[in-house]
Amino acid sequence: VIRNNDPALLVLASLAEGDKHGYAIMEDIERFSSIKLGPGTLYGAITRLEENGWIAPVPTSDRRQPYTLTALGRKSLEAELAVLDDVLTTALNRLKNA
Amino acid sequence: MKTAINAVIWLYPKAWRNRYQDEFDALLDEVPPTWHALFDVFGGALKMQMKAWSPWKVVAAFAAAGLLCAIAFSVTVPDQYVSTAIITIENGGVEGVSPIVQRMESRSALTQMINEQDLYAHERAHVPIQDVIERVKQDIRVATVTSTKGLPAISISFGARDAIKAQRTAQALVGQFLDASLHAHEDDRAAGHTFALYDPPSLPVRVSPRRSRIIIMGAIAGFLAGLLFAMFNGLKMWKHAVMLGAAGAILLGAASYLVPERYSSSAVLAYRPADEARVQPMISTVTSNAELHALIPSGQNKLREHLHIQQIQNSRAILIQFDYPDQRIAHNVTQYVVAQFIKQDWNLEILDPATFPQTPFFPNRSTAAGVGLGLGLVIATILGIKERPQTRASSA
Repeated sequence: VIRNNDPALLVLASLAEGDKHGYAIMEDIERFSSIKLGPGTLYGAITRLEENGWIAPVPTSDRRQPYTLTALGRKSLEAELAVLDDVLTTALNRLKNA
Repeated sequence: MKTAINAVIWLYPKAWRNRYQDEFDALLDEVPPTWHALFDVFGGALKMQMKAWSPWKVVAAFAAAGLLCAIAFSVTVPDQYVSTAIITIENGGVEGVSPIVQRMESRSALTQMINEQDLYAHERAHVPIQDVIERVKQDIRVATVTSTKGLPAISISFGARDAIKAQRTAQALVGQFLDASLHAHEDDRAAGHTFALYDPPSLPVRVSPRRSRIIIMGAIAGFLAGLLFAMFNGLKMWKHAVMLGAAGAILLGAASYLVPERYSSSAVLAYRPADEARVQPMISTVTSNAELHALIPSGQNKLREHLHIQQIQNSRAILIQFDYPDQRIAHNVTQYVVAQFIKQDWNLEILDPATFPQTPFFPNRSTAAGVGLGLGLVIATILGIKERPQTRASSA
């Protein structure tokens, strides 16, 4: 289960756009969420996501290793975002009606 | 900073480095080397280590950290010296002591004593005198006792980090007590009481903090903290630790009741410099005394084993100490040895009369139970470390 403030969710969200290496993921996350992940935190998330088969390394000759979202990762991200969407919709409706 | 970050990478588990180090190095080449990056990499290394370890290894690491912290803390706790004087109540009971102690511990009397003895010089410069007085009061111990003559008596002790200050301040307190007793007639409870100095303030005794206990407690606290940490991270084996720890505590605690108790009685005598050369021959004479051997049912061998008479280093004093399973015999033997010394024409001074041992000094049952608890927890840890985790359910 991903918590909504989990770096893993942010990494999945970043990779949903396309394959990226570590530094590109960091910059992308900072751009869309204003959260600046440290290198240790980022690679902690990458390690967990790869162990779960949600992301996979893309073959490259560069030292910078790109990652791609797997089908399982995409499905998990969609499920998690659906839950978050429900929460957001409910909260926004309640605020409007309050 | 870059060098420090590169060094921290080596804290990651080897398996992780084999898989990720090249690409992680490439990332670090692009990230500015800041303190934030350093701590983030350090935190990441710790998390990866924790993840690679079995839960019990995590617990063992916490226990080791607790142990190291306790060792460091115990080294910083200073020794304390306590000097004690005995004042007998020649006429009256202990009920008359309270108003005199109040007078002895009055603000004006203690302020004068603090200044004269130069106590708490550092504190006096930084906190109000009232706070210093309260601190001094905590270092003063007044207790009712019975003198060896059978008279009611009070002991006045003062504890300080400096041995000389401890003894001088105990002397000053005795002076203040006796001065205050001159005004005893002003209070109905103390009227008619007379007091006499029975034992002058003793040579300060070093009261070391119980470092071994601090260290054991530190290790146990670390272990329990590790257990809690591991429990919150899905550890299921804590029940084994609790059971083994409790079993160890009960087993060693119960075993301590099977061990014969031993009581220790001691006395301290001071001699003049002129008698320095006579001390060792006198010790030999006393220990070979046939009457002394007759006091102990099991005879000479036991006496040699458990009677310790020695000169105290850097002071002209003799420490007499005897430990025995029977508290009455322990007391009698020490008293007898003191009497043998007093019979000599030496002008000896009794600094501490032979104490009557109220409680056994061995075995220490709470320590035995504590050690049992610790051993149980350690065994549980070792067993847990040997059992490698099957798989760690990691979730992302």
